[in-house]
Amino acid sequence: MTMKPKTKKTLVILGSVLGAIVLLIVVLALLVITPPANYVYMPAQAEADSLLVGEIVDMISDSVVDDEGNIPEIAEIDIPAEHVRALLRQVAYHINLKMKDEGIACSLDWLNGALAAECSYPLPKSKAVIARGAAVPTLKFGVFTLKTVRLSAGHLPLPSSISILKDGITEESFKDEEARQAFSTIHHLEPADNGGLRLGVYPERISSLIRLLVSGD
Amino acid sequence: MMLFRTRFHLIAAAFLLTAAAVVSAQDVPADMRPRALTVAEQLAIEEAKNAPSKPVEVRKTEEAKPAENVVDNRFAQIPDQAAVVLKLNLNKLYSSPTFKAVADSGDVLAIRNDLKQIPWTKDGALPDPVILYAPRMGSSYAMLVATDRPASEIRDQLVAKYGNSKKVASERTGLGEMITVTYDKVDRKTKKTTVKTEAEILFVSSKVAAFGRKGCPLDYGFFSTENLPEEEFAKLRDLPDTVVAAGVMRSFPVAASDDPTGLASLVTSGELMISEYEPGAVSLVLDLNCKNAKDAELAAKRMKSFLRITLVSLFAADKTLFQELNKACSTSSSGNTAKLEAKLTKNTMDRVRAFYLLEKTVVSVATDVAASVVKSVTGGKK
Repeated sequence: MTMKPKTKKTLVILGSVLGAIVLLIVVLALLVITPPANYVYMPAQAEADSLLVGEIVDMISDSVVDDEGNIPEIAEIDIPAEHVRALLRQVAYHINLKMKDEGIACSLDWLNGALAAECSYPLPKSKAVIARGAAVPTLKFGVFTLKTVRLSAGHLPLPSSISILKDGITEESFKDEEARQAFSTIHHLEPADNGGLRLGVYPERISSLIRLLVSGD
Repeated sequence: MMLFRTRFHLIAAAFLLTAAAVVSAQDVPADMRPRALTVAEQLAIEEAKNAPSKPVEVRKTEEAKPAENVVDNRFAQIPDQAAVVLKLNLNKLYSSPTFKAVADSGDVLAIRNDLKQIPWTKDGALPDPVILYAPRMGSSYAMLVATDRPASEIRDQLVAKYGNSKKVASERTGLGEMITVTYDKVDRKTKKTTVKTEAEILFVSSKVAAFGRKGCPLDYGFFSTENLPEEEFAKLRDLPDTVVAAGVMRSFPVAASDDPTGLASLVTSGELMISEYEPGAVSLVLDLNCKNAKDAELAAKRMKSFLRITLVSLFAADKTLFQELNKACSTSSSGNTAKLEAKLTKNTMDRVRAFYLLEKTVVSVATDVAASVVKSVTGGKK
């Protein structure tokens, strides 16, 4: 039995389209799926970071009282990039502790005035999707914004308009009462000119921020 | 109630005693007063009134003569696993208006209520508890209580008290006589019966019992050692009556990742002493021993930061009071020791109390901040 030329042509086109789709899926899978990442917090690094976070406490302390012993309405603190990185590494360590059972691991960093995050989401058979992103955080008039400047899933670039990073951070943060209180301490937050982070805090509410800083939860 | 789930709660409670200055209650309304005072408490008040007005020399407490009513070796059984030890002078707490709010609040009230369940002494007075915390065992803690009654008497009293409602059992263990009070709890849905522990009392010596309550069972690991550091804790046993609370922190390893501000890594041991050096006036001394002078300097700096932040958090609304308190508190380092000292006169404490009555939340904020600070001192691991 011979196939009609028109049917044959249709089948060839259909086959090609299906093949292209399968190929695309395979290529996407190869781009997106990787072995899971394990962001280990080395003890020596943790020790060094602890001292830097301690210095942040000193900076806050110096800013909430001026030389005459008066308390300013808003205390301004410029936290250097190195100190912000130390703080973020500690935050990531505690997130990883909480997420250990689910196999989710993340790494946080501060690069060129932006928050850089990597998160490894587990898939079956020892595979994972590693989402990477960078965003600039600001907080003004009680509104927290996170402007995404880079986003990718594995090696696949994604449009930065996807708000996954902001949604993830705000959703997780605001679930926690302590984090909510700590946010209410902050009058403004923005990248500083020196590549670090500029914080304006209400001195009388500072205890919430300190509690979050030292609890590491 | 779960008392002192974490080691920092222990010392936080002690810090809270200083915040107690906040509520120095010379003119507490009658309806806010606790129950009628016992004879022992009235005696304690008399002693406090007659106490010399000079400040207590904290560093000399080791040389201080034991009070007459101290039972020999009553806290000699403190096991060496305990990293934080806190002794509370309950009589002082409940007889002094200065500490009234603390005595009537939170953990201290819970301790008193727990202790009242057991007939520890023949005259019915509450003993001064020594609370131990061992960070290496998770959230374990134990409370040591001096008793002048043998285990059999306490057991008989409890049997008479509870009748058929609770089961009182006693057995000999390798660690000493053990009394347990249990009750059956029936699940309304499944009708299943589970046995719940109301209290555990382990006689670690003829005069010292370890006490565990529901939710906080005794950790027998505490008492499995024969190495008892009597010398280190003799000062706790022999404290003068003016001391309201005293604590000792021992050297213990803390993972760097559990030491968020690096303070615990600087400190090898520490001592805390809170005294009413004259009626209505309170002094606090916290000594942190460090590995070297450089660490001590850094620890003092960090304590200064925490102290300043604590005071700003509490008293930002009253700037003159903040400045007065800021001057009354100081940090320093000498050799390998970092020191925090606070000396609050009766006048300052009256002002603080007036502020407290205006700002009712001050004590809870004080607890939170103190807990944060202590967590930083002792490491973050719960």
